[in-house]
Amino acid sequence: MWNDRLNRILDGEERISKDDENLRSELLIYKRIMEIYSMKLDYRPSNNLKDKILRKLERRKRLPILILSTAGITALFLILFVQFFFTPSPNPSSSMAGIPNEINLNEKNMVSFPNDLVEVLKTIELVSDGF
Amino acid sequence: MKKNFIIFIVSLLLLHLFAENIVDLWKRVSYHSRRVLIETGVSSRVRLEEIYRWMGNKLVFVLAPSNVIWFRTNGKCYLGDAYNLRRSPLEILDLEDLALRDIEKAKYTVVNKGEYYEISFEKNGKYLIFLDKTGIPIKIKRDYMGTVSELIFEYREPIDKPPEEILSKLSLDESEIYLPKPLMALLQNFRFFRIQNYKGNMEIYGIMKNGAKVRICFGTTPPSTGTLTIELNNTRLFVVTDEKNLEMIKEIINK
Repeated sequence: MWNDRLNRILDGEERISKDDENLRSELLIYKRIMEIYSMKLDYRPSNNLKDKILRKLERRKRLPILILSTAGITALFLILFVQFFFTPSPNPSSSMAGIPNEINLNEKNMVSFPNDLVEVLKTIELVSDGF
Repeated sequence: MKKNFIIFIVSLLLLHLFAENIVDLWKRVSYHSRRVLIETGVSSRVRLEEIYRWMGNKLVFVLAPSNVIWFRTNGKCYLGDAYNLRRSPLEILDLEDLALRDIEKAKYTVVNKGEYYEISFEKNGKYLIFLDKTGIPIKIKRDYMGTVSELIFEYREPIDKPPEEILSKLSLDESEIYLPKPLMALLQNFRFFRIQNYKGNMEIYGIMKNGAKVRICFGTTPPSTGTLTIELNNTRLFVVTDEKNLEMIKEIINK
C-alpha cells in the first residue's frame, strides 16, 4: 500500500500536503538512502585491493591442504622421533663380570667329544658366523 | 624463511627415503662374489669362499681352510663337503645374514661417499657396512664383545639368474645331520660358538644371546661347581657357566 503511494509521489502523480511533515521527512530519508546506495553501486575497488582480496580467497582455499600437509609432516616426524629414541637398543651382556675365563676342570675324568660330532660342530663353526 | 624451511623438510624426507632405498637394494640384490672372512678375538680365523646370492637363496663354496659347501633356500640349510648336501641341524648365517637381520631392528645411518655408501648401526655389536651403488656389499665389519669380524668382498658381479649349471650338480638330502637334541637346543641360543682344544680335550666355548659366556665339555664326572650335567646316550655333557645362566639353560633344554 505504502509502496503504491510512494511510487505515485515519486512519479509526481500525488502531491504531498504541506501539513504532512512526517511523510516529507521520511521521503527525504528515502532519497538520501537511495543516493548513498547508488554511490555504493558505482564504487569500483582499486586493483591493489582486488588483488589483496583475491589472495585472501586463494589462501582460504589452500588452508585445508596446508593443514593436511602440516599434519602429515608432523606425523612423519613423530614416527621418526619414536624410531630414533624409543627403538630398543642392544643390551650387551650384563653377566660378563664374575665368570672366570679359566674353569677348574677335573681333567682326569674328561673325555673328548665323539669324533663324528666334533666334525659336524667344526664344519658348522667354520661356515657360520653366528646365530 | 618459509621457503628455506620447506626445502629443509623436503631434504630430510628425501634423505630418509634414500637411506631406505640403498638398504632395500642390498636386501634384494643378486650377486656373485669371492670373499674373505677375517676374525680376531675369542679365536682368530680366516675363511676364503665364493658366494652366489639370488632372490633370498645363498650358495657358498668355502675354499679355505677346508672345502665345504652350504646352501640355503626357502629357510632350509644344507651342508656338505661335496655336491651331496644334507640338512643342517642348525641354521647357517654368515656375517651378511646377521647384518641384514640386525639392521631390521636398529636405527642406522647412511653416508653417501660418492662411489659407495657407508652404513653404521649398533645392534648385537657395532656394524660398519660398505655397499656399492648397486647394493652389493664391499665390506662388512662387526665388533661384538671384543670379537672383530670382517667380511671383505674381493670380486663382485651382479647376476640376474641362479647359477643353474652349479645347481643342477647339487644333490640335496633331506635327512638331517645328527646332533644331540639338548646340544642343538643350547647352540641355537648362542650368538656364536668356537671349538677349542683345552689341554688336549675338545670343548665348545660360546657366547649366548644374552651375552653370557658358556663352556660345554664331555666327560664322566662334573668338572666343578656352576655346572649343569646333561645325560646323553653313553656319555655326559657338562655345561659350565654362572648360576643365573644355568637356570635359563635348564629351561632351554627342558622345553
